Amino acid sequence: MLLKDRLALVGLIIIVVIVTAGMLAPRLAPHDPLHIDLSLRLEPPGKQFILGSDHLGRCVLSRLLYGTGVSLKTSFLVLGMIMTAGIFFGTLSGYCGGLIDNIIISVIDVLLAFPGLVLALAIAGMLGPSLTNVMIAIAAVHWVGYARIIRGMVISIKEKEYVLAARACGSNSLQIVIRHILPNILSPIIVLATLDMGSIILTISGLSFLGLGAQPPNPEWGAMLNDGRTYMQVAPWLMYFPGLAILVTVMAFNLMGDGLRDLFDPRSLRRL
Amino acid sequence: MSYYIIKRLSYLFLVMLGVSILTFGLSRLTPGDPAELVLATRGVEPTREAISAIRQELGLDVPLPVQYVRWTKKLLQGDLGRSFRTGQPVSREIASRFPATVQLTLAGLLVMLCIAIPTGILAAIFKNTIPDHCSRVFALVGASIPSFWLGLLLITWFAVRIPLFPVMGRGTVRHLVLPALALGVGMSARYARLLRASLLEVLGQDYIRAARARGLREQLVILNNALKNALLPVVTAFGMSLGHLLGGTVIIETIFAWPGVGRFVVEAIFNRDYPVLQGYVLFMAVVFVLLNLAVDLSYRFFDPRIRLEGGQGK
Repeated sequence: MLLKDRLALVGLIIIVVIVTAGMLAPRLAPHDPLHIDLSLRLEPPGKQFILGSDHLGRCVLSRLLYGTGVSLKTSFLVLGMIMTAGIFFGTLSGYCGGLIDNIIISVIDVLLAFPGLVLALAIAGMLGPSLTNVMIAIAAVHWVGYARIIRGMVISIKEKEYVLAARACGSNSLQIVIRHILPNILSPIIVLATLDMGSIILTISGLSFLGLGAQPPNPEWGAMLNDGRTYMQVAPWLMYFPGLAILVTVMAFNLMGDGLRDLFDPRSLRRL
Repeated sequence: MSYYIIKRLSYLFLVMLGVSILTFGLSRLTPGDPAELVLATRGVEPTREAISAIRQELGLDVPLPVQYVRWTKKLLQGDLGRSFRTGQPVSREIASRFPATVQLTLAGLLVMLCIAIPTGILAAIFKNTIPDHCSRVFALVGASIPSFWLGLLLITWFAVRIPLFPVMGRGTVRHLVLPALALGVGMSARYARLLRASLLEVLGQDYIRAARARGLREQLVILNNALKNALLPVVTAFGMSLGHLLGGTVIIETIFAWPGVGRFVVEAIFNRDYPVLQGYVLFMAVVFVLLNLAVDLSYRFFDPRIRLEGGQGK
């Protein structure tokens, strides 16, 4: 248990470092991430470029630093969209019941009938390649999972004595939802969101790698890997560093998510 | 059981109805007029007459509900429309590439099982010792590594530096090794941990204690008595992650130039070949739903506890 906590702390520290690096990118970056200098193309890591330069002579380290902001910002935005939609429809469905519940549940069931990545790929593909469209596509697919879990929690909470008591005191539905139901579902949802953050980063960078997400010259990690693919034999650093950046970031969120889950989940003792 | 199957099938029908409406709606997401797009791909000047002619040809001149009914009618006859680009029926294009995707998926599954089962068993036997810690690290890295990066690393190391395997394409078994690894390794991490947890739970049960008390050797207890029961939750989780596997092949196929449906659909996206994309989504949803049904039914079949509940009409 102690080990888990310590690992979660390590995850948190890595996340703080990454977020800070992303925010301070304009100060930390040794070069302009978009500055093209063809005379300095494919320079190996060394004095001039710490992590080397890419096929257009751009500094890989600077691009990675700016890319941190791109990846984190998009992932947090997607998570925000997912949670807003999930909480809204999940609460609506669970609290109101009846016809509204039936309609929302049917929509959820239909969306869950698709393999997630396939549907996201299709929506992004139909809308056309761009980072915004990828974000819309991922959010459109992912919110259903949250809505379903939240609906279940709301249904179990709404029969609790304190909700009945609040209703007896004359609170209206909106007050009950905001004051009594939402605070009780928030912490498990935050755990879930932390655990999901990793997979969202992976999906965004994966779709960008396919060329659907961030468009050049935007320094997104997945897109950088895609750019460097052609040169991976002569300039392997173009492939190693962006991949490593994704791996470390996703790992940090997974570490923290695992730790938080054990803290909040009473079944954690069983899971060992 | 039969009651359950009927209930499940009628539910399936409703879901498929929803899936068809959603897929039909997907094509409305495209920016611009599809008629102009078809003209552009055919290289025809988009005059007003040409556009109205093509709208009639594509059936775009009638209201949406009518379009949907017409589309569904064709769909039920296995007609997914024609590719804008090649002019070939989408169903045929997908069918000709699907075996390659199935082959890759099965190979990925095999890799996953070959890694996950031994790792999971070892981690459970040596709980909280070095093998268990190693499996924990492996699980963390496996869950966090981007499959496309793993694919690139495998190509660099085992196809370029040490030319053990071909870089890309399909043909011999050796072509299959690297893409299957890229697909299977990441997933195996999760299943190893899942198997470990479920094994540990089973190993604490009375019948295992009884088997041990009868003096059976520990390996036999694990292999004969425990593993069979421990695999059940793994099978359920497996059904749920089939979607990941089906979606995951898209990226792996693109990296390794594997001639399956995944790579085909990525090309279609960049060619704005929307009928192909639409057909692919629908096809994958049908495959996914049927696979889940199969997993669900087999789970009920193998676990008598659930079979009984099902028989009582749950």
